[in-house]
Amino acid sequence: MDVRFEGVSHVYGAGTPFARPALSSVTVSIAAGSVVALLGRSGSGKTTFAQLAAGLERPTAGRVIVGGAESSAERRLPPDVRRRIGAVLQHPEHQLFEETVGRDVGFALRRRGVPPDEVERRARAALFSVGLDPEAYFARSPFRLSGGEKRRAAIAGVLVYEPELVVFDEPTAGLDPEARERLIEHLEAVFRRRRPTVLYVTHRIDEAIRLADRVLLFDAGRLAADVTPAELLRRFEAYRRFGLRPSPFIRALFAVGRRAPDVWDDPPRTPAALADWLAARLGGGRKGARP
Amino acid sequence: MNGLGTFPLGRHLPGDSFLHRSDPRAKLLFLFGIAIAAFTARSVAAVLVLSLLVPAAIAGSGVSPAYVVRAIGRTAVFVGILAAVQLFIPRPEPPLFVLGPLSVTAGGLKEAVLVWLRLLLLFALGALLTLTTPPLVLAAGVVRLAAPLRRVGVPVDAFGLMLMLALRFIPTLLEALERIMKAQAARGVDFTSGRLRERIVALLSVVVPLFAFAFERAEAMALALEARGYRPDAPRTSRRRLAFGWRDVVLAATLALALAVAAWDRGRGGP
Repeated sequence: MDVRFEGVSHVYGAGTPFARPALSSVTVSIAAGSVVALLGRSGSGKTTFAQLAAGLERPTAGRVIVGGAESSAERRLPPDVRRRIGAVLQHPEHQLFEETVGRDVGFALRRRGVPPDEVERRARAALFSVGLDPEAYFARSPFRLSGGEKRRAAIAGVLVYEPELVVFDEPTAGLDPEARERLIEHLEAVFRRRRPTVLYVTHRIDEAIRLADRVLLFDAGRLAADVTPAELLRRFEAYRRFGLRPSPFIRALFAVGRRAPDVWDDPPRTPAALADWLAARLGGGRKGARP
Repeated sequence: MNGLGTFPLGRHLPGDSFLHRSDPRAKLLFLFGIAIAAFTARSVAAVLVLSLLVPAAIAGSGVSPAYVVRAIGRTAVFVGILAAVQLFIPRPEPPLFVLGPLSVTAGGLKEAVLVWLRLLLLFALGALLTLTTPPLVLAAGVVRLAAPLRRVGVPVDAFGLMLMLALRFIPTLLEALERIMKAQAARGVDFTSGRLRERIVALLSVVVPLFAFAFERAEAMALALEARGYRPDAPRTSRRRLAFGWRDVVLAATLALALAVAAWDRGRGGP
């Protein structure tokens, strides 16, 4: 599902004393099937951008065109288009409400009138795709799960209807390192297999570089840069003014780059890939060595 | 669903207006007195006269009138449902018209309109009270007003804290509500249409997570209070000094006038 922003501005609480401008005249086109990371400081407009794309907010000015349908100050996205969009908002675990994990994951499908046995089959598949064993989790209460499990169950409840456009708003925030790694692996697999258009809001630059094929950088409500992950890495210093700070991985990449500039030809996107690149380079041929 | 986070009740809007600079005790007594006046007055005309206080208070608060009027408009529908109950209380008088098993009388209609106006008047003034008073100051005002009750063993400070927390939580819960509604809307919940069964599911999909969230927050709040050594029975001192000024005299005079109007109206009409 392609997404186009045409001169889009958004003000929260417009017309009240609590009015808060969040996005100002953003124009950008996103091709169907691309994974786009949204980076920027807190309050830079990335969440608003994602919610506008998902039709959860309407622009105060300009228009958003999603899958050929328009959303503007006067018009909402039509229901048939909204049904093809998924949104994993901040703290998605707060959307769980059914008595069992299985019922909660299947909720959206039931709403769409899918027959019960198909709902169950697809709910199990969705649980499996986020790494929760359906046998163990299907009949459990969602309120008894750990934070990371709740998070993944909630995400399964969105992936279950196979949205063509999915918005993720900091899906890994607040998870422990292991849960985060696992979630990213599963998301990566889902993205590869189903090829949805993805808008991925994050503060973690490593996640953006690993998952995305395009990075939008926001600053004070404006679209400040629109680059590929490779470009972002190459010109990292230039983007520091938008609040980006180098992760240990990026520091390592720069350290390697100082001695071997050809690493920038096609920069590795994960620490593991960087390790592989180095191993190949050092002639050890120890492919697959992991730190 | 949008804009819930900007609903005025419980929200504070920093400012420097007449109402912002009045003493919280004066404002609380004023609101309380107006409530008495509104329920003492027996005629629609008298309540309408009292309603003139709303534009006056808006002017004295420095808050955008369009904003307050819109909030009153949104509340009017909800309060209207409450007021409509009055229509259906049986009365010994000839019905104006019959609605199925219910007969609507002139007296019932008048009572409904009265209740509707009174509640809206109090909502508007209450919203302006919280808009112009930070929750801490408001709680300090309540505690000081209720201080004499301490002697008969009423836990005044605990009530003050409860009040402050309750006010403080209204906007937080409204924001959470908005977020949860968005998340469920993204999963295909339609809040505006559907059959009764679907509407109940839509409601549950919001109410259950909202309660779960509220309990979580409340537990965290209790822990935070305990961690900072809060003990409800311990004597407390306050950093805040409250002092009455000329603005509070104006409020008192206005209140006296409003009470006089209400008393005259009641005396005029008989029970």
